[in-house]
Amino acid sequence: MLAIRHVSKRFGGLRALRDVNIEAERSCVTGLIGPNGAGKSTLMNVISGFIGADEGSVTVDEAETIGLPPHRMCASGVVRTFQNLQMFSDMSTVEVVVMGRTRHRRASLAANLLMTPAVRHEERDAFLAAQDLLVRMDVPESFWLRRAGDLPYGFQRRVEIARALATEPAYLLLDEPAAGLNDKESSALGETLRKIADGGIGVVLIEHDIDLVMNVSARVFVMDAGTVIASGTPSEVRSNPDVVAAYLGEEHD
Amino acid sequence: MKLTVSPAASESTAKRPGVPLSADRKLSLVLMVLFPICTFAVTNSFYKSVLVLSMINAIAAVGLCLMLGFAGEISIGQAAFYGLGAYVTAYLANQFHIEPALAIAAGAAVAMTIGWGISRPLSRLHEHYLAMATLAFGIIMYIFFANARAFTGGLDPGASVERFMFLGFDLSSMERYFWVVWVALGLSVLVAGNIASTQVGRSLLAVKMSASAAASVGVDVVRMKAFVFAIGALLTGLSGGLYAYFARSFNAGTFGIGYSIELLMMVVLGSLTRVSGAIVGAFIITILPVVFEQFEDYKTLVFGITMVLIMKFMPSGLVEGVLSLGERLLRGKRN
Repeated sequence: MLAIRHVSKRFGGLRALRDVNIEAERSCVTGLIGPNGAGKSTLMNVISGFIGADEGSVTVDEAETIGLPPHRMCASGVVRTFQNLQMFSDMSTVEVVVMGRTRHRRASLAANLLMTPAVRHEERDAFLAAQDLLVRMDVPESFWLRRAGDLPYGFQRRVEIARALATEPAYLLLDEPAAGLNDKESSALGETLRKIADGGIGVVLIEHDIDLVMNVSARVFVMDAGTVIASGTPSEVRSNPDVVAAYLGEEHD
Repeated sequence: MKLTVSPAASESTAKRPGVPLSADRKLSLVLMVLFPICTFAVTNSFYKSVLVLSMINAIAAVGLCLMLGFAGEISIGQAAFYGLGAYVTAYLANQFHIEPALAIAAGAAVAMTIGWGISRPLSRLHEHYLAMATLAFGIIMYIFFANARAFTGGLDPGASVERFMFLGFDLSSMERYFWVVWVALGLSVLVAGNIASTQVGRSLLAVKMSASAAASVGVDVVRMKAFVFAIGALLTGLSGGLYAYFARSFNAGTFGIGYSIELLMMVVLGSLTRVSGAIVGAFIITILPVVFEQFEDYKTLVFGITMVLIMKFMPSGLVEGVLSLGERLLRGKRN
């Protein structure tokens, strides 16, 4: 279980996160929704180690990880994607996914400089693993050797997820993966996410596309103004008056 | 993870494991063969020495190519590492009379250590700020070289070294020293090529393209930056040590900002992302002033105009420019 407990974060006078508690289980999709400025992305940055928290703890399968730098978070089994696509644009598509194998590389720096047979072997394995993932993410083979930055946007999104999966994570955090996708691409993405979760990975989905979240999530957390205002199954959340208020701005007691 | 794989797709995954021998490597190999051919072709001993100097510069340029072209870490202070290599080599050779090759290796090691050391405080700086910081480092080291006269000889009388001997053989004549430098360049190009075609080079590129994405897939960004500073300084220090035995007598004036800028020009002119580009750039920047000697008073002007024209029409470097030009010509013929 990926557990976020009592996490708070201030930026000067702004309380970006206030005592946030969220849990995400393996093998299912956990949705995280909320209006703009609710603190979703800040929370994502805290979990993945890009910014520190003022208080609270983040545990990955019972191991405390708060304060670890991003590359160590990756080693603890948490990997993320980015809201504004962070592609290694000038690499070939397959190489972008090969980068995801970084934490599984055993060869030393010196061995790489000498390009020992072990390194060649490791390179080949990494490319084979990357090609497998590209197949799983339905990226056509004709794209594999093309410059990643030249791929259509929807495919770059898939390549980004393939790169994240290449790290063999326990938890996959997706920051608005459906942004910029059309309805068809979006529902295909939902299908893919469910498959990823079926494979044993805990998927945390931060999204503006409410339909997507409600369709694929086993549990949904709703944030507003830096705190969690509701959680539950999609249908419970949908009928929660606080959630309706946060989204529609209705007055209520 | 158990995602379904369609049989047609899994068949095709067996193909293309790994990247084929890159065009960059082939081009580097061709250049390494061209240098000896050139030295046999020219009879004038001055031209022979210019050729050796261009190979010495190429080693330093390959180092900067890894830093700037791969990792995106600009350095306008490379002359400092060049000087460190040269002075430490000269100092060890003169004071302790150790084997010149060992002195050069020690000079490169000292440069590498200092490169690694400064990378830590610099690792949070980007682009302009990094350029300023490395520029400042270059200036400080120049002032040190010019004033620490007990160690460097300053601007006058400068430093000097004995002949280059290797295991008792005198290799100091330009014909023989050519091969010493050629071997050093060959090894540098080999290692740089290995970096470029394995995970290390890919990680450096990843750090340049998106440091946050690189970190999120497990790349230790600070460590990679330290590594590239160390290897860049190592190669530039090696180049400096070789320069010491090339010039035999030199002063601090060689290690000023001018040389740092020259190295930067070599890398940008050749190709930022190809090791072979650094060699081409070093060759051209070293040779052109000699070729333009016939323009006498106008040589700086002609040199400047040539640079501007190359950058205008081949902004991604000569190597890329010539390759794409060749490709266009070939396609033109087919149509």
